[in-house]
Amino acid sequence: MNAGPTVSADAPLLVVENLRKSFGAHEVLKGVSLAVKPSQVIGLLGRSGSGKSTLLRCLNMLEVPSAGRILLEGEEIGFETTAGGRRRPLSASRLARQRASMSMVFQHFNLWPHRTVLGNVIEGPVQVLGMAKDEAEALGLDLLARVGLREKAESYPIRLSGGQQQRVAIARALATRPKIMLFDEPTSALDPELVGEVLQVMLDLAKSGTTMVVVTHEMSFARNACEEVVLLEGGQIVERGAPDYVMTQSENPRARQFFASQRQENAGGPA
Amino acid sequence: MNYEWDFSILTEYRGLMLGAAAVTFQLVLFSVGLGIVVGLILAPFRMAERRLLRYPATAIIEVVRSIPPLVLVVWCYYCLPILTGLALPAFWTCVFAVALYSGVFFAEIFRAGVQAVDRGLVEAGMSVGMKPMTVMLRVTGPLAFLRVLPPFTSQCVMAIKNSVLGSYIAVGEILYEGQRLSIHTFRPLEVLTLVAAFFVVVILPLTLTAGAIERHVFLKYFRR
Repeated sequence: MNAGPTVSADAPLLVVENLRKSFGAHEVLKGVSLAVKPSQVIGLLGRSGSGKSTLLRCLNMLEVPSAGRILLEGEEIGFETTAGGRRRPLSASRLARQRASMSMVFQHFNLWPHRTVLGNVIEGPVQVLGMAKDEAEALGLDLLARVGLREKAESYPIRLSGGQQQRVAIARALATRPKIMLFDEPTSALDPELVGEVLQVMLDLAKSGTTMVVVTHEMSFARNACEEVVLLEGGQIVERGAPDYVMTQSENPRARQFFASQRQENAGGPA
Repeated sequence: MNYEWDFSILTEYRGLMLGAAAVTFQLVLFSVGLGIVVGLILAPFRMAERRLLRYPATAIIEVVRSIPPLVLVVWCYYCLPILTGLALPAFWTCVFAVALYSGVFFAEIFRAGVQAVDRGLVEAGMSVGMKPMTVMLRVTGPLAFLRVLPPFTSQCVMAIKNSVLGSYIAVGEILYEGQRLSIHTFRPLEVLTLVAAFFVVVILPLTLTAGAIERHVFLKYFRR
């Protein structure tokens, strides 16, 4: 394993360098760079098709980037450099190990239907970390309590509402004790009345010092929970900074246009 | 129609028919078991991204699938020894031929099942850090199996019934012994009725159990 650069206390936890991703001839990410410090919450904003979900999915190699590097605590994700200086993809098992430290919460929850709520949560600790089952269950019940669903531990996912399923998915993602949490539009598939409970859990996580990268359309969440927001358009970052600055004070015309349209939507205007 | 049924010969020769039934059970056990193994081996190759792995598996599946099973059994019995110099007993020739024939269908069923599993559920496994094999064993495999239970059951039924093809190469299973008995006693209708009843009695509990499992699984995991 590479020694990598030394990591000091306020050094970034996650670094993205000039990331590019193409699907065939279509370039979705055109050189994106990003740094996430420990305990920081970063919001990725942008219209659909702007590349924000692709960026997030590249972070844990669900999509393999075409170019650029991702470093978690100085260690490159998904690739290694050989003694001869050649860069090559990591073996599947080493990539799997890296993924465990950067859990993901999906738009469509993706709970495993054939396992109970608790079964979903302990799967990572038991199968990936090799934790004993009773220890994992104790941890799982704690995490379910944290998302307010301890009493649902023995239910199957299909019996839960969308909001409850997403909270279970968050508990499952926390169970491998990741260094960073990736959220891919976690409330976009929910009925409006269920959005609040999920955002509340995420807000609690943010306050407790969890490092998070969140792709979201929820402007109020971005404003309240994110230390920094990044606006993507056409696969490039067009504006970044503190939410208040980016959302209201930015002089960037594309940022102004995006947030104006968002405000119009929230006010019940044309979609 | 005033055929006089006389089932007494069946009680008279029950020892012979019980022995034949035992051979059929062995034939079924080995050929279905082996067929599932063949399917489990072929399916991943059939789905492989590399053409070098995928093409041979596809070729085997397409060729074997298009041969009538009777032709396959008889061909294996007469032609394989000439081509390979390896002469297997009729029983094992039948086991392997039926297993191969069922196996290619099992492979296609398993492939369909795996491909029907929601990609998001696989990604959820990857994102908690599962290795590809763990994802297969803990997520894709079980969910694929639940999805393909109905066609899987049908294929098992077909494989069980295909055991009678052994009669063409003189394997002493139930149809072969039945035919010998009917020639000996001039009672083919009674004997055939027994053979038919035997398969109904063997297969019906299997399909009923599978149906019950399917309903249970559906209610528990998939139905709101």
